Amino acid sequence: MKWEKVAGMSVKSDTQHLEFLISQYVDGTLDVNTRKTVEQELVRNRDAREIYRQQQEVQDVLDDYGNRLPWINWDEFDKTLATKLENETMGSGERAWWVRWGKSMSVAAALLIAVGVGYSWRAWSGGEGTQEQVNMAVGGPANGPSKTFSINEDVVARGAGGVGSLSEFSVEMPTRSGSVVRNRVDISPPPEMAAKLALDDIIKIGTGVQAQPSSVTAGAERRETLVDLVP
Amino acid sequence: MNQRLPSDDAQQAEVKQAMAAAQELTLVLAAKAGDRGAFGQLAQLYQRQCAAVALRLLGNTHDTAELVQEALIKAYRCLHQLQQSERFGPWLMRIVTNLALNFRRGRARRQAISLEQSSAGADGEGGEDLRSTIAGRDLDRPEVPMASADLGSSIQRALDALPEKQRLALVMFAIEKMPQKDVADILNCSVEAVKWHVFTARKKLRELLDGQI
Repeated sequence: MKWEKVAGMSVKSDTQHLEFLISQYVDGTLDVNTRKTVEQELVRNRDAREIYRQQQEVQDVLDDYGNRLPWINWDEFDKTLATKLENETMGSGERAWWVRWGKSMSVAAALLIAVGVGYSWRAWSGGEGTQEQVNMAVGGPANGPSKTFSINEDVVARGAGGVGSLSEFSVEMPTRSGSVVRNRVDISPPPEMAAKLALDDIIKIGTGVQAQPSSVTAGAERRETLVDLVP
Repeated sequence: MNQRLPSDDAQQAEVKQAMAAAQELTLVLAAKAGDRGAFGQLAQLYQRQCAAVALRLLGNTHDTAELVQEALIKAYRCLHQLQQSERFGPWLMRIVTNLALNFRRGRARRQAISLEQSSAGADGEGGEDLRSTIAGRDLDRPEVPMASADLGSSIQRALDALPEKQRLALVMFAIEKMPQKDVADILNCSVEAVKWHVFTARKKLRELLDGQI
């Protein structure tokens, strides 16, 4: 079966094409030559006549339907329209520039804010901070060696309940052989939670209490390192 | 011998058409210059055609009158944006069809919401009645003479069931007899596509109205 393109759509070249031509014949939109061809086809082809009859029948119904006009009181309509037009100004339908460009501008503003927030977060989370290190010694268990903790000053200053930005801390532990082992612990964001947990854990380690896994995620690396530190 | 040839009638019709077009163009230019009276005359020229198209798309007279008013006011507000002053008719009709389509979508949403509320609020009968009413589209019954009201409402239901472009093409070209080029402009497609939409719409309509015609 052959197919051809009509108005961007594939059309079967036999019956459907004939139907399409007859539809245009009913509408009176064919050019003279095609109209003559269709008329010849209608004379010799009974199927073509049946297609024509069906299409003309539907069009007659539509013509009848089209003759029914809406029951509108046009005098009243004209009066209402005239009153409404009195209050209208030509050009008032035009949208202001900020409405027309509003969508693009809001997208641009959202992007700008997102970039700003991201940059601030990165800066605030301690990537480029100049935090001094302080050392504090915490007593170990009654019969065990004491441990030295080197932690971010910010955390000490703000305390366990405060909001700090601890990025890392180190733990120095004297071993039984007399040497000192230094462990550095990195803490990933969120920094405020990391700071609080870090202090809690330091105190626990310092007092010989076993560090417990926390439900707050402050970095898997940190937890593993802490567990290793407990004697 | 005062016998008139067919070509005389055709010529007269052409002259008449050209004069009407020139008169319309004058009115459009005057309205663009701020003459409200000229716009009023334009509105009177087109309001019946607008109402007829809107009625076929909306299905009831009350909404139709309201929508045509809205379309004419919108046209007045935006008249200065009309580039081709001689194409006022198709431009206005595009406003009417766009508003009608938006109205139909809004109405479908409102009906869906009220159906939800009804089925959630009332247990049983009330909700069921509303569902059957909407399914039968009795709410959209066009105002037609009683004798052929049934066929009229069947045609309206069948039109509602057609895809958007087919419905618009059929209403504007096959029912309202608007020129194919104008319909193509309004639908933003080619004249060939309009012919195809009319053909397929008429075919589907016959299937939908099977047994009634």
